[in-house]
Amino acid sequence: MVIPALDPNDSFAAEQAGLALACLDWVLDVHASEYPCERTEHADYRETLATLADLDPGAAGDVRALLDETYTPPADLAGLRDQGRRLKEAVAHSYRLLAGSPAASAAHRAVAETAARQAQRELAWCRLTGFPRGDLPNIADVLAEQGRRAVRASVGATP
Amino acid sequence: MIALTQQWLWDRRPIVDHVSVVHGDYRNGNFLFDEDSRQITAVLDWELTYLGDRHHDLAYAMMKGWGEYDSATGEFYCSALVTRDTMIAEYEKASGLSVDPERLDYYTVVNMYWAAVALIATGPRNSAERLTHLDAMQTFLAGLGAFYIDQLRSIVGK
Repeated sequence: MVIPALDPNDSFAAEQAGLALACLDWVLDVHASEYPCERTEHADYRETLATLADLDPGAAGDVRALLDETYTPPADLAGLRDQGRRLKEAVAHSYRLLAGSPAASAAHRAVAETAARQAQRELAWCRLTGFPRGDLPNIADVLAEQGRRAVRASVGATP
Repeated sequence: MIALTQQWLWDRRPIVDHVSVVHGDYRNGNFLFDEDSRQITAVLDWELTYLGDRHHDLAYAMMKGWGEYDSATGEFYCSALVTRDTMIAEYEKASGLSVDPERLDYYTVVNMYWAAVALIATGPRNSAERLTHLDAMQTFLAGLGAFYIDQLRSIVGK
């Protein structure tokens, strides 16, 4: 990156340049994990949507269709991200529909567990911004740990 | 987390006992201060203003994201200016209105919800679409959104 000569008295320009450099450090920290992160989110939200669909005997056909469509994640990042977004929207919609039903508490538990893993990823992703506090693992380590959890869950072991 | 928070807020929505002018972004950084007279001379950025519950602004000014901890005592200063207890006491004295801790907690969640959406979604999108000259800062502030997502988790994720 080439930084233009900045007027030493222009504090705004200096601040913007500092932020641009900090953003580049941030990109270096997370860039290699972008695709794995989208894969993890795709799997996580698809699993949550399946759980919510099981809780709702009247789950709409479009939910079942989305689960079928997303069985195999797209290989390209744009396609993966698009499906991930639709899965998230479907989870939010299904969760709202289940609120107030006998399955509300189970639905809350499922979505809260997903949200906790999402928060863990968000914190790790943004750790270099300095806003998340404490000694946080990098996103690659968080994804690896969440991947191991998913494997344990799929074979029925205690997480 | 956003869906959980929406439901949490809907389930607990409080009654507004007294309609107030709510600023919506009431914190340090949004007022002008005259050092000679030690007076606030203007409050800025009114684009989020609406008629609502005073606890919205009070909770906002107390948020962790723009406060500071005293390194010597560990005490938290709202907007890096005043302790929470002092702020509540001074507000009640000046306004003649009470401060309800339960509604303060509710509007803290409202504010964190708003901040998470604005910082993680709106800000980076504005940067990506070149709608702001503060694109680097708006991108970087997503980290503060992550901080609030985690704060929300501890409340609405129970």
